[in-house]
Amino acid sequence: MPELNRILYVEDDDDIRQVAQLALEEVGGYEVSLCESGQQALDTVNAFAPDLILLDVMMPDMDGIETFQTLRERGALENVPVILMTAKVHPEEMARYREMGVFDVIPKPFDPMTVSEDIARIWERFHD
Amino acid sequence: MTDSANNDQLTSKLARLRSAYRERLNGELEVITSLAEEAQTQTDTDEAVAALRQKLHKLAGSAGTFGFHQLGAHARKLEQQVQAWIDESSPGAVFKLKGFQDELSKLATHLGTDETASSSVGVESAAQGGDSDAPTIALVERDGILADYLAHQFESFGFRVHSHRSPQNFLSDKTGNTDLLLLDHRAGTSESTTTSTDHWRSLLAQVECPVIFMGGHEDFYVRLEAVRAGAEGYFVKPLNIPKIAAKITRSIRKRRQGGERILIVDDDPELLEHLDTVLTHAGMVVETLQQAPLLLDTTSEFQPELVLMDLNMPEVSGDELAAMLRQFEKWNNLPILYLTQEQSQRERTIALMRGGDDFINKPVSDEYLIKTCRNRVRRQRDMLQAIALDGLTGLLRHANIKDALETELQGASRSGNPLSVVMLDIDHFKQVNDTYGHALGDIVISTVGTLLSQHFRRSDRLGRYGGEEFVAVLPNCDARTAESLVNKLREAFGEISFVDRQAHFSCTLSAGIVDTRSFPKLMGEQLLEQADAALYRSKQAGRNCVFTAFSSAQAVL
Repeated sequence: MPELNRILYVEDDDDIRQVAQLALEEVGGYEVSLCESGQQALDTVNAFAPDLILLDVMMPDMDGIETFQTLRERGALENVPVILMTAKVHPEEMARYREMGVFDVIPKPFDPMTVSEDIARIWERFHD
Repeated sequence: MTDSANNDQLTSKLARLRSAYRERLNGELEVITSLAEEAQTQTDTDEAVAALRQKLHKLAGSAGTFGFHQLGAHARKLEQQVQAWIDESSPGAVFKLKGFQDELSKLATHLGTDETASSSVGVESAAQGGDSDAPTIALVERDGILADYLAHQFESFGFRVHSHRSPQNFLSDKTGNTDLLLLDHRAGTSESTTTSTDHWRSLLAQVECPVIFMGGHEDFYVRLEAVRAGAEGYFVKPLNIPKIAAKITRSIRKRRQGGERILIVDDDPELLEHLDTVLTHAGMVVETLQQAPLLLDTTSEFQPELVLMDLNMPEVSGDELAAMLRQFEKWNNLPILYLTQEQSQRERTIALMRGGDDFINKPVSDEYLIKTCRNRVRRQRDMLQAIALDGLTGLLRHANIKDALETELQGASRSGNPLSVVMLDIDHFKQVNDTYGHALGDIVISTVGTLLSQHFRRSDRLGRYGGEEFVAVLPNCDARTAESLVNKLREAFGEISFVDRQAHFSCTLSAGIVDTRSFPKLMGEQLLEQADAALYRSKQAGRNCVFTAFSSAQAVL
């Protein structure tokens, strides 16, 4: 299994970005690139070459789903699992995400002390 | 994080972020309040409502991360209310939600509670609302989407669900009791190791509640592994949720039944005292009897579920007493175990012929004694239930629920407390059967059974009245309370999705309610007629709703 190092995190809320940075860098020990919009993620993704992408769903302008679809159309998601960060949604919605190719969902609110463990486990499963 | 200095640093950084977030919250709450006002007072409000919904969504998603759990949970509730309003109203409609302003003001209250409750950041998992008496399922599932789906479905059945991504997470979570552990069979394994029995056995050694495995496929060896790990059941994915919910309900109900009632008959006072102590300590209810002539009285009064009978007593032998008990029809099925040192095959055969069921050889180890008694009684309980209860739903059968209604009515007239009778019927059930087949129809019926058991108290009497019709008898409950309970059940039922090979579908139900406060003079049969008439009104009104029968005296008022 390849090692998980680089995580791209897309989230429009300042405070959440900061706490996520702390959670992923200091608790998880990952290298993190933070983006505050879908557009910024599109601009960053090639240069940063993430191993895994975390996407907030509800963002102004370009939401998480649209960002996901554009990233995939541009071929940026080869072997890169995408995890949506969103509230618990209805099962049918979940099934729809999965059909679209989203690998997993981490429900919000997340716990900064344990979210890195969740991500590590999802990474393991991605390479199962 | 390797050393404590680092840890302190992290904690203080988190605390700083938290207070920055806290600063922002005041502004956020103001924005939300003014958006709500705008939406309620102005005309073209679609935009304001959408913005309000989005703000609430963001708040719900972030507050818990910074430790404001109640605030976050409440924001989620409000978001759902607004979303429901958006779904149901036509564009351009004026935003109106009953009590919304009050609910909105509670955000600030919750903020206060969260602040006093905890100053640490996001250490506990998000608090789940709900009934504190509801059975709790711990769910260990690696797949987040599936986990959320399962949690949602089980919550619809009235369970509380704590989700974990790994068995270790579950074991290290010490918050509260778990009634049942539902475990992804492969959850503990990393990519290279295959699941081994030892692995599970050692992991589950610390788990006290029943365990059910779920897995991707089924064969003899997988089942064997589950058995060896101590699991009560094994379910294959895709999971049949209603079936699992029914199994869990039964399993939890079994554990919540009272202690086994054991009558011990022996002439040796020291031995009696010892057996009494051992079984009582194991949680059983014990009565001891030294004098044989009191046997019939004691058995009548105590109503044991099992008799332990010394075989060799000086004046009268145990097998004679067993034969005496068997002369009464009501004690025909009462399990009787002989306590004996007798080794002669001939003597033992005679004792069995006279009415005992088996032998426990003296001296007996405490553990063997406890397990034997417990196992006998549980099997007996299972069998009696199988006879009295409807096989599909685990509820009382038609005749039994009518008897139960009469009994409860007598109790209600003695106590003067109100009693409600509810009649429920699955909507368009014939269509379900015609479209998806009878097997799936049965699952829908058993789902209502499970939901009834989950949503009502243990003192309530629940029955399957006929095909897709159910009756609930609720003592100490007036029609208003009953209506709100039944509405909750109705909504939960609508949330459950059933899986056919081709499609997901859901069902609804209608109900009619009557209470003895409105109809003090009616007998059981007449109350059932009134409830049925109210049910008919629900059907007329378009189904998926609940009506309460009113007497003509009330109609005048």
